[in-house]
Amino acid sequence: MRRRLVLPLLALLAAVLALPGLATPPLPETPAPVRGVLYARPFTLDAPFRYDWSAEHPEVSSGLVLVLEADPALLRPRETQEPVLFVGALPAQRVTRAFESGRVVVLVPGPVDLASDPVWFGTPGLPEQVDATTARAERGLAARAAIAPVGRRAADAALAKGGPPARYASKTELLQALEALAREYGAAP
Amino acid sequence: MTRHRAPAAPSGRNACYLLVFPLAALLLASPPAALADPAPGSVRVTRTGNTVRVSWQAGSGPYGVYRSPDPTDVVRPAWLAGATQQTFYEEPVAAGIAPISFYLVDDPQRCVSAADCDNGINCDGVETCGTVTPVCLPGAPISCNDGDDCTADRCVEATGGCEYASLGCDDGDPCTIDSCRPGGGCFAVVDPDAGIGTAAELAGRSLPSYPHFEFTAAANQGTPVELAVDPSAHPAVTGQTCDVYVLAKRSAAEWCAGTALADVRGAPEARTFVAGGVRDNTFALAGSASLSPVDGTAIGRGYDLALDCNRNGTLDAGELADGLSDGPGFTVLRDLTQPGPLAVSQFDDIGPEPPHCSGGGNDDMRIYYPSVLNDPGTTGTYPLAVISHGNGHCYDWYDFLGRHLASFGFIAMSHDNNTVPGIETASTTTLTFTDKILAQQATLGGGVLNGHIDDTRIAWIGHSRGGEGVARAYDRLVDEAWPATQYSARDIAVISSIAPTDFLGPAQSDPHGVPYHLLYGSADGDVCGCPNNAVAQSFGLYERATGARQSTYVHGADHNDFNCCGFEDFSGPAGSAIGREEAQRVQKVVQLALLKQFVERFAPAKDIFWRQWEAFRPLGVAAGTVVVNELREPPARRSFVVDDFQAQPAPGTSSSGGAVTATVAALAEQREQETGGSFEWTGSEPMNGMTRGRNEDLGRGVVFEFAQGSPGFYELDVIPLARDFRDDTFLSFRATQMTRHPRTIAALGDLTFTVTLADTGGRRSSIGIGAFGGGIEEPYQRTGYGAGTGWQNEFETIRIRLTDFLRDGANLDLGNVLSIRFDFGAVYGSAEGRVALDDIELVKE
Repeated sequence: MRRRLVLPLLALLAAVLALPGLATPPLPETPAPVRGVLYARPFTLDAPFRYDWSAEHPEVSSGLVLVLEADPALLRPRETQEPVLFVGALPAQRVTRAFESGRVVVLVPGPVDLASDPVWFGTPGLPEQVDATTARAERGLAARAAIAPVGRRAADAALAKGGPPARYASKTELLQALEALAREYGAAP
Repeated sequence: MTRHRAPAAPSGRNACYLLVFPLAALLLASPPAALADPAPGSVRVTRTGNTVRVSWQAGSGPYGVYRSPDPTDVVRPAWLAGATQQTFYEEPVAAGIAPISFYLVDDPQRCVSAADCDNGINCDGVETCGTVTPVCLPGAPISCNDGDDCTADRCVEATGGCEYASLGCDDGDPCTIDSCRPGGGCFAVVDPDAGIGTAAELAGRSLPSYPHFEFTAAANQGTPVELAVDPSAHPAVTGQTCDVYVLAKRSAAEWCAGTALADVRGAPEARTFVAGGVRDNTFALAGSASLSPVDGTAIGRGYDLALDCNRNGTLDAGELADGLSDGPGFTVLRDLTQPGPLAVSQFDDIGPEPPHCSGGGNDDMRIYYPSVLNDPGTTGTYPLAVISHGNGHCYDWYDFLGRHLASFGFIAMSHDNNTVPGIETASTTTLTFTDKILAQQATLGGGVLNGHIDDTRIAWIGHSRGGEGVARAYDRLVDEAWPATQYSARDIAVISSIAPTDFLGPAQSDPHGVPYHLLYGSADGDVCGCPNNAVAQSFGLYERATGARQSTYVHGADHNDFNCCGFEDFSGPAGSAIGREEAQRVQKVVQLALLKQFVERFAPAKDIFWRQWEAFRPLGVAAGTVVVNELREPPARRSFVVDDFQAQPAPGTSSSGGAVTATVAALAEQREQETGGSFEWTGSEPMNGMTRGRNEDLGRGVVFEFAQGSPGFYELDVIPLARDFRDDTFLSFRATQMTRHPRTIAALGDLTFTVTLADTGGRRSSIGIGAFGGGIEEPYQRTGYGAGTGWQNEFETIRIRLTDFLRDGANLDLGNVLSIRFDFGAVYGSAEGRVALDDIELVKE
């Protein structure tokens, strides 16, 4: 019953935003999968930080750095609702804002198993308003839309690309390390 | 270009070298390779135009770059030009200045504990020793601003506590009447019984129809100012030939101190006043188009007017004068699209979090300030303007605005804004960056701002998500006691949101009572005002503002016209785009005038926000640019709200309790909110096209229509207790044409009608609003969201000076006004239309 209500609403939103007279490209339909996980590397931090990209604001001292490939329209900055990028149980932090290449560097808090946790773009909104309940519902929508995890082989390939876990003193040091990664994958502006 | 090694380390420090360069220097070669900080080989000196920039790669530090005039005493906080993690320092230069010396000092002043850093001054806060880098950090100055314009606030140095004394507005001069005005501070007028002239409105402009003349507060440079005397209001001047003086503005006390007249034009002009009407006694002031608008960093210069009818060179009892108060008689405004009088410098403060302007880090800011602060001997404080960008935008996209404001005496700061997670994080960034610039002023940019930021006069400007963020930030200060350390809600003088989103709704994105301004482009393709998306409807925030509020609706401007570099998102009919350059001209005018109005209490700036744009278009803005103004005074100035359509839902009764009668058609009182998700007129939604809030917003108004050959009226009785209008200044209301309605389309253009006051004796006086120029603008002709053409409804404020109803001896008793009536139809203005009305009230200036 819930599915039958929510999906038509999303379709209606996409349809209305596609009406003529708007120069900003319409929002792609969601939930939508990413095209690929190009890179994955676990990290730990000596000093945890408060995570702004969810309503619960967990303290983050470990996680995963990913480089994703996706439809650029899903990554395009918008002032109103943007599709929320989920990895597993939480919205992921988009570290890079450039969208034309379709590549984005993201930071995923906490333990994530790419073989079993899906990566997808959910209902447009604000990551800071996503709580665990919303995230679970979004995950359900993704599953019903047949968005599956990338699988063990792809996960292992991405992790192999990323290399061994990295340790950083702080989030600042982590972000500094990601600069080169963004350039390497064409995710920098 | 010359470079010298420092012969020896400055005393007590590990000074590394001395850089000395003449002003013509363009490039400084690498410093000695032995130096580790900043990055070896990275120090450069360049000159572009009149600006010299010293730049370097950050390196690891700690180090300081000092701009010192004394090689024997280099390390002073006031001379710090850059420190670890900073990367450049800029300052303007002028011909004839001696060479400037910069010193790179390795490992500057260290400390062990806070005790090492105590400067012995209580009111500048508690100095601390940094825990990461052990250098002295300034404390947070004690903020004693209680937000009450009528108290003098100060920090008592002996105790470090605050003291609030009632503002002594009484100047002891029996010749003046002194008072404190909330929002305006002390204000004095000349006592009418002091024998120094008679206060009168004299300056303004003539109108093509009744009331034939509009008394105004401001005029544009180069435009003749007119003087008018209505013989029915001032019969004593009839038959007299008077010397008309244009005077440098005087305060009330100055008028009391001396009544000798001195015309700024060199000599007064003689004018003879005759019997008849105001048209017979209206004159263009000779030479008024040449009056200077220049007055320091003010946006205009004030003048007083006086009629010396006994021609003795002094203002005597009974002689008329405009400006017998602390305010001017009239003000000549400069071209506000052009830079102000001050040279501007800027620097970036780049935090350690990368990447620059591309997500991730949120610790960079750019600061614009008057270059005079580069002189260590400069004193004085400047208000602070904080600019919070939108989603996917960047702090370095507002140079045009930051430099403009700084050239008029503001310190402006544009910062990284954490908008992607949402509005809460964006508001946090605004709150913390405001704290940061205040707390770190001793070191930012080498301390060039230190002691020069007025932390009691802060303006927040936000764009898009940042535009909602600044409103949310204020809400957090007021409702959630956000722990700002350097300022409080009372220090926020005004907020301006540019096309804000409305994610959070009235519970959280609420400007409360702070003066609030909305700047919006009708061709916005992002925060579009679309009828199906409450998040994209900016005007919800405007409607929530309970204090003074003003909106500027710019036809043909899109979302990113208000920054340098955002996407092209124009969404309007071909040929209607005004372009980024023109949109920014409007933006510079209104945001500067707004800040001058609320931060510096420059009252004449208000004219820009309520007079018909067609009649008072700011200099420098293209003639074809259409701007719709809306303004509402703060509650303290709403002397009587006749009907705001909130408290009384019955159409036959106003919110003030008076009877309402009407013959217009299809009348409905409803929430001003579109509910159908479409702008198409279907006949079933009276408030079609209203985008004034979400479901939780409760703003209401009245809507009706009138047809060709079927005129109608809407009339409100004034309750007996409120019938004396003599102490009020304006009748004010707002109106909008209703988009896509057949009657709007049939008469596409400015809509006009007639306003009539009737007194208890059956006497009436009427004014057609078209007399003031323009009218109620037709909706921007944009398509989408259903059939038809026309975008969201555009409320526009009309204010009519109450004494205009008395012009030329109109037989009306303003002391006993029985009703206010709006007449519609060809006899009264537009032949047909559909219109909404709201906020019908009397206001006092």
